[in-house]
Amino acid sequence: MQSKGYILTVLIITVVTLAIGAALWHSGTQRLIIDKECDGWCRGAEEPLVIIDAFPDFGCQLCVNKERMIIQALEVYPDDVRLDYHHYPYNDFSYTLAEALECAGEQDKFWELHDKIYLEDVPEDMSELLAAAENVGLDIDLFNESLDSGKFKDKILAERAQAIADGAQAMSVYINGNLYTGSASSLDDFCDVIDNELEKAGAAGGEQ
Amino acid sequence: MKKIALILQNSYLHLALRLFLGATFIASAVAKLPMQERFIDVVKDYHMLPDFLASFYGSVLPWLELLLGVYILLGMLIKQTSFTIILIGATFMVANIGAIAKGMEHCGTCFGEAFPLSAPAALALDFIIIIAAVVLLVHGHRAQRLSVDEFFKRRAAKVESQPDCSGGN
Repeated sequence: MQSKGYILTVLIITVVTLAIGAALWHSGTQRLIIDKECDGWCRGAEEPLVIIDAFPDFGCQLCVNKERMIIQALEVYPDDVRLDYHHYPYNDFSYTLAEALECAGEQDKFWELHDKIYLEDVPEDMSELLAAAENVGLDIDLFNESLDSGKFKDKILAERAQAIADGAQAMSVYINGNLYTGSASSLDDFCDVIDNELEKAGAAGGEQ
Repeated sequence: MKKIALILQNSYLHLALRLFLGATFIASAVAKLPMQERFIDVVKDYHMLPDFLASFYGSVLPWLELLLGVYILLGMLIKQTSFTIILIGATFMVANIGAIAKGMEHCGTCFGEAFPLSAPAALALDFIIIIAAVVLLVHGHRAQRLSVDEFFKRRAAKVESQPDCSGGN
């Protein structure tokens, strides 16, 4: 039989711990401040009603699934939805892949390599990356030169730092600034959220 | 064997294990609580539990980790806490084995962005957590250094050992 003092101590410590937990939970950013102007790699509608901000990592299967789902959603809503792609690499080779996308961007093939990587197989080493780059028609010498120079390293790091500063969570997707928490394998769930945002945008437009 | 048994009974070892388990569980909870929605999402995408159970597990786990971390660190309800940690450690192991089997590189449910952990490293950590908790479960009844349990045990013993003077008044 425990003493009253012991039970009281356990209760007090439990309450204090839960209060600290609640403060931590409350501090979490679930909403992202979105930039309506595209200042990076964007794709989709020119005057979007819905902006999808993606912070994927190549090493994360969940992110790959979400990125695939976003590409499908862009085809469903070509006039209303825009994807803003943000570099948010997590492991070493992801940094290389992020740089590779920028190098492909120099040759106007950012999205071609993006789709090759996300829709097919994510390269796991340099030889697979070079094969993917060749496959999308990149000038391999230029691509190699660009990648070896490491000139996009700072840009990737800066973009990652900015994402963290903006409160973006790693490997996350935001729809009009709201964290998408639905399944990464159900396009229907994803489209439901987009429809909801479109409805809101339509209602706001109607009121004006 | 006797030497190992003696080491396992050492109260300093128990203190070190409590500090390790407490710090690990608190760090894990602190990493998850601010991004709980995202954590639930990760649990769902392991596809090991039905959606409602995954949501429940993802909602409850960070809070439970925080409480268990604090309890074990302060040395409260040591046996019960150790037992719960073993159960939770087992669920971590199952999740990480599943993650490795699916070819996932990172443990999405460990420490979040705060401390990226590879899936095999996470599995090794789960194993150490379970071993540490088993040692505390088996030896939790022994005197525990710097613990709330021990403080109250000693206080109760002191009260019992004091002569009852009420009859003389």
